[in-house]
Amino acid sequence: MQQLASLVTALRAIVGHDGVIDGAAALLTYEADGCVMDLHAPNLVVLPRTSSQTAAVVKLAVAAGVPVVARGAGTGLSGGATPIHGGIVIATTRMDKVLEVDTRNKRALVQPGVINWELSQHLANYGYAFMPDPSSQKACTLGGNIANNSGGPHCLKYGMTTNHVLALRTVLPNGELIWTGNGSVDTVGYDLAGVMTGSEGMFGIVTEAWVRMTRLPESLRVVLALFPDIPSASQTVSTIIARGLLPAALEMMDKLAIKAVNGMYKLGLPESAGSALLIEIDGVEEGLDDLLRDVTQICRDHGAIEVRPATTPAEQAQVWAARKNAFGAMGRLSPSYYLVDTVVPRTKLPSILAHVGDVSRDFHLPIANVFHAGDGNLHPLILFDRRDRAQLERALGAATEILKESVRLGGVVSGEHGIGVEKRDYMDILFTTADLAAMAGLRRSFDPRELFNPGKVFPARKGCGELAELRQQAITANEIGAVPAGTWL
Amino acid sequence: MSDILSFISTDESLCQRYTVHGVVPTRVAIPPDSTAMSAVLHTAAQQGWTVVAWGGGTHQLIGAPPTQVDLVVVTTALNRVLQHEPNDLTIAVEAGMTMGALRAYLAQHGQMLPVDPALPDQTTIGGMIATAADGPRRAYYGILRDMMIGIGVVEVNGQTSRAGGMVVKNVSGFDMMKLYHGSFGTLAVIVSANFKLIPIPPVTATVVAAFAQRDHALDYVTAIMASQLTPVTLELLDAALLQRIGVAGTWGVALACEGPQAAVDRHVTELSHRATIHAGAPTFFHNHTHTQCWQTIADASAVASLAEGEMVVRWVTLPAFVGDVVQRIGDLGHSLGGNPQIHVRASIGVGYVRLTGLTTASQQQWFAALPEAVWVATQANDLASYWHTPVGGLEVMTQIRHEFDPLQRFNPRRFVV
Repeated sequence: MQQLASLVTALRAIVGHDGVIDGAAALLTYEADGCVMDLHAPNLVVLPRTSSQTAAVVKLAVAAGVPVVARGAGTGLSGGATPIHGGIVIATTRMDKVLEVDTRNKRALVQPGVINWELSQHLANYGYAFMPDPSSQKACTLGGNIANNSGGPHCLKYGMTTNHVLALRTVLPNGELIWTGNGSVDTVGYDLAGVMTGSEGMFGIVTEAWVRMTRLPESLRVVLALFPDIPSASQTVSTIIARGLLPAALEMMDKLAIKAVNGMYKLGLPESAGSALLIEIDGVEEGLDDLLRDVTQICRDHGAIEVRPATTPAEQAQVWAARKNAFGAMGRLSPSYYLVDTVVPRTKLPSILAHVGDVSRDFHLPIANVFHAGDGNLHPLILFDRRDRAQLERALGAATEILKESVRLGGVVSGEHGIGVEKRDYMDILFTTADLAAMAGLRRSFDPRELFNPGKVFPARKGCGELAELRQQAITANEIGAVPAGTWL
Repeated sequence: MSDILSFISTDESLCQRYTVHGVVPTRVAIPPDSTAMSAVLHTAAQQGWTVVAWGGGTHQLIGAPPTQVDLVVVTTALNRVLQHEPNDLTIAVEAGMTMGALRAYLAQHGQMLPVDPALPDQTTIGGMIATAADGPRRAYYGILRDMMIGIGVVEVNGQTSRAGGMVVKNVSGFDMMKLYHGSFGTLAVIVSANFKLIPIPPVTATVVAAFAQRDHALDYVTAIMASQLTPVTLELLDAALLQRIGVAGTWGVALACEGPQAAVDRHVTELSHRATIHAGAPTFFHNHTHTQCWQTIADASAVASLAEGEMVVRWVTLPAFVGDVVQRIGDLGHSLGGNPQIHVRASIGVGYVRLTGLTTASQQQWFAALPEAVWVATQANDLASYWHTPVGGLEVMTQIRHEFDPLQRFNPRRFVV
């Protein structure tokens, strides 16, 4: 208690009195992010305004041996911002400025608390956008996007957050404040910005970032195609990709999802439809209608019952809003949902979706599907009532089944939401001990004391520190580890 | 042990062939597969040998020379396609496959991995990853860093490990692909890599705009960058390189267009029209001449074999400063000599300058005068330094090196750390 009190005093000297939250009730609001399975309040929450304040806060925390957990908007779905070992949450809420828009060099300098949607809205004034567009973009922040290597529908064509980060200003776990580069595309030495992106807050806390601005395409077309069932839509996706037609986005919704968004957005979609595909293509005007015709033909060839072009910007915005707010619309269907995030090779989409249907029946829970079909990135939403313990357990069981099948089909355990707490115990169905040990070695290079976001990513039963140490011993003894190498799937 | 030793040769003429930046290795191993690679590296670890990984040997002149090389381990026998599901647009390949072989294989399926390095029939995928190789289509598609979805390595003690997977979106665990990319053989030997692929576009064409004045060329580049056109390359070429692709002019801007016919036609028309607005004269290439043009430009950054006194520098700046750097290079050419030949991936800000006939002292002066240098390639083995200090994180980089190669046996002292 004494140590905490003196820490609070020291922290307030850095960030001001209102920059430290220490009241028990207020701290509870930081006990979880969007993943409500594991809850743990922090000891303190600190809200710095500048890079140097952040560095000073980190130095104090690590000197006291206190864990540090960064938090943006708390929209993460894997518990990445949940302080499961307590400690200090550093919230980036007050670092929310776009510092510079550099159209000449197609880059913007942002603070980590800038909201993704607001950045793109601002850049639109210049004719640009920040292309990674998670469904939560109206709330989620750039810092969170960087920590999780966030995706979104437009990643199919434009890549994920890591393809749009040029340089990071970051406070390392030893309190040192560095820039990884000067914002140009190449750097000398190892790609620190590259490894930090997607490192889930374990390699430091980002206080500024140079990110890419992408010129908005000259033209785009949006089409909503309705299918009688899921297999016809998922076959369509596979065929579109196999033919080499690369849309800007290719999203799928199933019957349950259609029902939810229909009610919410008054789209007037026929609820007899088994599934819907939202397809966007972009580029220069010339050739776009030909591409649209090819895509539409593939839809019809696979049994589309209706193909609706969204021709005006207002119509396009409405269709996109329905997709992006689909998760929120699920409240119409059930009190809770468990959102699974997994990826399969695109040719396996029909198989995994059939399996999801089987799981739904076997576990007696409805499962809605709204997802980035073009990437093979599934988001089965398992609908249940968390007030019923038995349903909660069935929901977790169903999720595990889906993940296991996904990996069996050549997929992975997270497409864009991250591992966090939620999936750390699935890491060893995908990776061998040696694979995890190499990652542990990388983590240890940044944070040997494991103070930054401890308890994340690595399986609970195979601690990161232990893995890294065993690996070092094997290396210095010139021995290969006891576990045989993994094989390619 | 005897099985493994059969892969490791001390034959003098073989070792000569694998001279690393002027240093002849004591032994050369050419393991036939990744299991043998693991065994060889395990043996190397037990023997305490310093190790240099060698693919096509096309980038070994980059960075500082080694002091001693106990073993060169050659990856070229690891040259198979491991997994390719054409309809998934993903592929897993062994790292000793050349880019040329991969390109030919993928073309059979109407697909491509759109990076065009120098000397594609020699340079290997693993070497390209390790040296962050690039090509002109970086302007639109990026480099292997942006296309890699998985990787397999053999670590310094012979342990194999992998990361990523065979799907195009994946945040399961840390991005080790970004760690090994550009690590210049200091952390592990890359034995396999997975990539996402693109279909070969139906139509390709090239516009080369020739200018009498550099400022006009740069204004043209700026205008194209600000437009909604999407050429896949935007290369600024000096007179020498222009001539090699068969175009007359003092400075040139070469742009390739790919896609459906209608889109390519639109690009060609507008790019050439805009060129004339900036006092440029357009030339067009299609099919064979298009391919030849781009191979010539890609090869302009080759560093596989350099003459004495020859030095190549890869440098990076912001696109807005490309003109300034090009000006400075021209000025340095007058004061320090070297007859600089320049080309720049102008919309990206990465450029190359090739210098010839320079003493070590002059090479050192050139390096000091180009803080934008990302790497230098030269035969000279006595430059005071071969790498500028990173903007930040040198200590973390040192830690990373220490975690992966604590005994400094992989390419010791050739890299930044």
